[in-house]
Amino acid sequence: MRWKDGLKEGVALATLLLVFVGLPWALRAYENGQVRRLATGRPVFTVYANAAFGTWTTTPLVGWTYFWRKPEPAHIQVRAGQPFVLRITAVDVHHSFGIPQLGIGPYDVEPGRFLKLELKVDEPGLYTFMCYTVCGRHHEKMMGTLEVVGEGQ
Amino acid sequence: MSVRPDVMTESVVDRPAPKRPYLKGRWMDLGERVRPLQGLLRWRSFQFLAILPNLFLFYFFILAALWGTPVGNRNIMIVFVWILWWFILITLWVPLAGRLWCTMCPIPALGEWLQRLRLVTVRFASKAKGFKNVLFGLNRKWPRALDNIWLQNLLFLTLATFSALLVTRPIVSAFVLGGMIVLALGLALVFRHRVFCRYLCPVSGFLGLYAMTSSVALRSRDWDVCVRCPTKGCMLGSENGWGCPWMVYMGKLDRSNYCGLCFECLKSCPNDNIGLFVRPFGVTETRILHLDEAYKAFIMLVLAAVYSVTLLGPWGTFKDWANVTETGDWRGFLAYAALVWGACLVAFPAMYGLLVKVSQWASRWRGRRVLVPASASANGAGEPDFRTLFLRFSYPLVPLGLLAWIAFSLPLFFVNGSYIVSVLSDPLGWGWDLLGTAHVPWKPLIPEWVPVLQAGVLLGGLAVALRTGWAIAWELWRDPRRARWGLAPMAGLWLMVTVGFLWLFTG
Ligand code: SF4
Ligand code: SF4
Ligand code: SF4
Ligand SMILES: [Cu+2]
Repeated sequence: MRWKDGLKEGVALATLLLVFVGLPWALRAYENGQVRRLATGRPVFTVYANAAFGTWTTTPLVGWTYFWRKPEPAHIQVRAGQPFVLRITAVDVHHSFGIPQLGIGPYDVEPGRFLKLELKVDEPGLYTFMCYTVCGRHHEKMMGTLEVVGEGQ
Repeated sequence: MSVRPDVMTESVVDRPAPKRPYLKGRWMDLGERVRPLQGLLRWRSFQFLAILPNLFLFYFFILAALWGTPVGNRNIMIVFVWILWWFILITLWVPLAGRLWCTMCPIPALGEWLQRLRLVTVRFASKAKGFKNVLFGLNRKWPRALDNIWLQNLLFLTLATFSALLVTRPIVSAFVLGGMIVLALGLALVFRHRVFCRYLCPVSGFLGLYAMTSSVALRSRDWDVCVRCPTKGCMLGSENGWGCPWMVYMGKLDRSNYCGLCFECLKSCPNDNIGLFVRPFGVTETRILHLDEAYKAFIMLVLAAVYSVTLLGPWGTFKDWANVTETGDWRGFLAYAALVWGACLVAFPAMYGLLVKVSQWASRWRGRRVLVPASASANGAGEPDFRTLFLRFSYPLVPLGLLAWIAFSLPLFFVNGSYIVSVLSDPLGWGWDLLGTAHVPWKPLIPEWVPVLQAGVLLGGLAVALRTGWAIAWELWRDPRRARWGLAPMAGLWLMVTVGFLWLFTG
């Protein structure tokens, strides 16, 4: 190979490698930045609404896990008085989110969109969040728990 | 310029008009008119740079399908591939530029680069005989029995049967596209050249078929130059370019089906004898040569009808059968699959064959009292046999089918187009808002104009089919009466197909 050809090949190969490594890295980095900006020091919980199983879950349900992963019902634990953030999305159909005991919601949860809620609960206790839209056969089962732990517990 | 010994030294100027048997209507040698274009296409890095952005995008789509939301119309994989890419491909790329997509397609690229062990430059080994480039891998020859597009037809039908999954589930699209990349790579290591593209790629079959009508075609500028060309660089490769990866010999090429527009032959031809020609859309001179190609035309037309029914039509049951993952009705799905396969491979071809029989009979019956001129029968124009008629008359289904596909794709694009705008800002459905358009509401574009556009496109397709059909009938019978009677049954069917689509689209 002439050195000029070698140079061209080298540049082309470097570009390819850059694409293959750089793209996933950039996606992750941007997403992490977004979440960090949203969090501003508070804990962030991502909740997925799934009509097929009838669950709110914190098991990540993305393209490649959605079909085989059995989602565990969400159980979110925060400390009383501690501000936190919920990011809520739906992986199939329209749902709506609310915590009746706290007078939160209902808010629309659209498939492929994120609902962001900034919350703070002062009263310790076990709260249930549920779905207010009839979203499928398992709609009734759609419940998750928010556990607010008091000081010293 | 110094003259290398393997280059013909005759001057081009004092030769008579170049021999271009494929040039019948109005053609223009684009590369001759626009010299920088010829230069661009001869530039070695051109194809790599054309593929690179698409490879980047495909990679992005696959990552989005794996990591992003499983919701189809919020994931860039579905929105960009099945709404945007498909629409551009079928309405612009194919009719205007034929296989130009294959120039920039990233699917076979990894395999081809591995086979060549080069990304932009050429490996040259001046052997006395055969291929002049060294390819990495086993370098096997593709089996002769599979030297056709039957496999493509079957793969395409298979994918088409599961299209409801394919176009709604990002992960399914990722597996299919990723699977194609892996398969192309594997085959590139076993067989010489792009056998995946030529014989397996499900997209290839319809690209090749519909490229026949397209406005752009790459051809040898003068067949006589090719006849006397000692090196056949276009096919065997040279120090400036790889031998044709699509196994096409330019010196005899008069159809666009299997040239993947990689533009290697522009680089490897030592006589600058390759031109990029443009012509008006819907050429009549080209022809379908084999049964696999005729079947491709049938399959495409029937599928356009099937999709129009399932996606736009009024019959819910049929729609539910196709959407097996939503309904879980496997029996219905099997019935749907059997119907589709039966219609594509048996019912429609049989009906077509029957009509061709009628056409043959009608032309004979009406021609009884007409004396066939001796010259006509002498040059084979006397009594075309069934096979010839069948193949020749399957070609008008190509423009007809292409325009039916365009008509079918119009509402899909205009109805779902607003997803493109929102997915641009949030490609993975992760709640991003890159351009501030993530929350643009879904809204169909110009819904009142879509049926009008569809009707126009369909009627245009019918017009091209009839014009083409007439040219074919005339060539076959060389007698206006016989040609008219021979064409009538076929024209009747094309008319009925068009009316059927019109009824489906405009209600
Ligand atoms: S034949 Fe298929 S895989 Fe090959 S370049 Fe064309 S579209 Fe891509
Ligand atoms: S196109 Fe091929 S055969 Fe024709 S002159 Fe060029 S290299 Fe020779
Ligand atoms: S004939 Fe072959 S080398 Fe030339 S552009 Fe077509 S596919 Fe490429
Ligand atoms: Cu719900």
